[in-house]
Amino acid sequence: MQAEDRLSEWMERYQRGDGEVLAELYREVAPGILNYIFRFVRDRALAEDLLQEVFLRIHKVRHTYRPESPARPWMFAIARYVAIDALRKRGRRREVAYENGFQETASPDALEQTERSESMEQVERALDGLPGGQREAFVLTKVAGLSVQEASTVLGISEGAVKVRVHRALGTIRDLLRPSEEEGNA
Amino acid sequence: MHRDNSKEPWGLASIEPPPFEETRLLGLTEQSLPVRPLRSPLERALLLAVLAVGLGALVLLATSLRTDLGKVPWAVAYGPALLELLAGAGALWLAMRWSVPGSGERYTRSSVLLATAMGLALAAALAAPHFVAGDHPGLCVGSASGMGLPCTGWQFLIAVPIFLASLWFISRGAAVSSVLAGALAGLGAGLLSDAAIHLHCPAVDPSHTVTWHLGAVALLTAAGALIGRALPKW
Repeated sequence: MQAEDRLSEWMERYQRGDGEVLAELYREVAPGILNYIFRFVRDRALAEDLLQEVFLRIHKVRHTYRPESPARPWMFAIARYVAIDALRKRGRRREVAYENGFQETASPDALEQTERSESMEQVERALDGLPGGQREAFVLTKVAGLSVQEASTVLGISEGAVKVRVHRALGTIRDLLRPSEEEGNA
Repeated sequence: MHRDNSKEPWGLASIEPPPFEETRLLGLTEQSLPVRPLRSPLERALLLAVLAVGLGALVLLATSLRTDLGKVPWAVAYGPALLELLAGAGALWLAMRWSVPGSGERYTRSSVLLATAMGLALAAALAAPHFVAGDHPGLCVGSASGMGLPCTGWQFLIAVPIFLASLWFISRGAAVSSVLAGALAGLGAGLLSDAAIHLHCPAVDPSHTVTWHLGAVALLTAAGALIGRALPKW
């Protein structure tokens, strides 16, 4: 069974009152939503709080899910609403907190890990340099793993517009990273 | 098959969420009562349109059809009302879509405004020959004065129940922009009610139509936006 079909089936079971399935929904979707929200708020603790808020909202408005439609865009649309709402309350768009944002993955080579961490930070900073629309399209498709069609539903724009935004985002990230790469080579 | 969220495209690391068992969501698993899924936006809009047609028919029975309907071609006589009916149902459909996450946003504000403006312009273009060709006896002929009040009164009689039902539907959903959803509900209810009143009111003065008919539509749209703002956040 495809992941999307399974998600839809879980959502239908959840609507029928099968609460146990929430854990499955969480395990399937939470990583993508957390990574998406984190790129909005740049604060891991806040992103984790908001992730739980997203699932509380999903529980509250589960009757608005249409069984025949894909569940992932519906969930990400709720996540988007929650993240934007949180940013409005906080009064600013981003707060840079790269240092403690990520779990370091174990690496046998400390030097390699340091280089990877620096590179990661550069990309994250480049991501922050993107216009909001491009960053969101990029994060949804390249980090959260949504398809172009799903991202278009979440963002409320056409699939063509998503592709354009992602393409521009990739170009901008390359441009932003180029000087540091050149410095590295020199 | 789980999606691979651990890969690191473009050097971006994936952060892992806390285990489900360590979240405050655990309690929800025991509170999960069955819920009935909302009907689709189209079904809800059609339900509202049927209500509007019923109420409009009752009002036309209680009053009368305008006498000049038979003197002009069918398309000119009934075309504007039909267009308003479609535009009203369309606005309600959009309102219902906007009341469900991830469903209405694609229809952006500008396209909604453009569609509404085009609908009204088309209705006006179709109505224009009627204004020119018709023989127009009736209650509210040629005046923007208080003589238009009956038209607005009847219009509100049809519109208010549709409007309230639409707002109830919106509040049952989870509107990302309840202001826009409310405004669309007001616009839809206004257009649907005016579709019926168009078949009753024989007024030829454009100022009458603008003041008493479109004025009522505008008022309902504004009321929808205001009430939408006050709807509880989900």
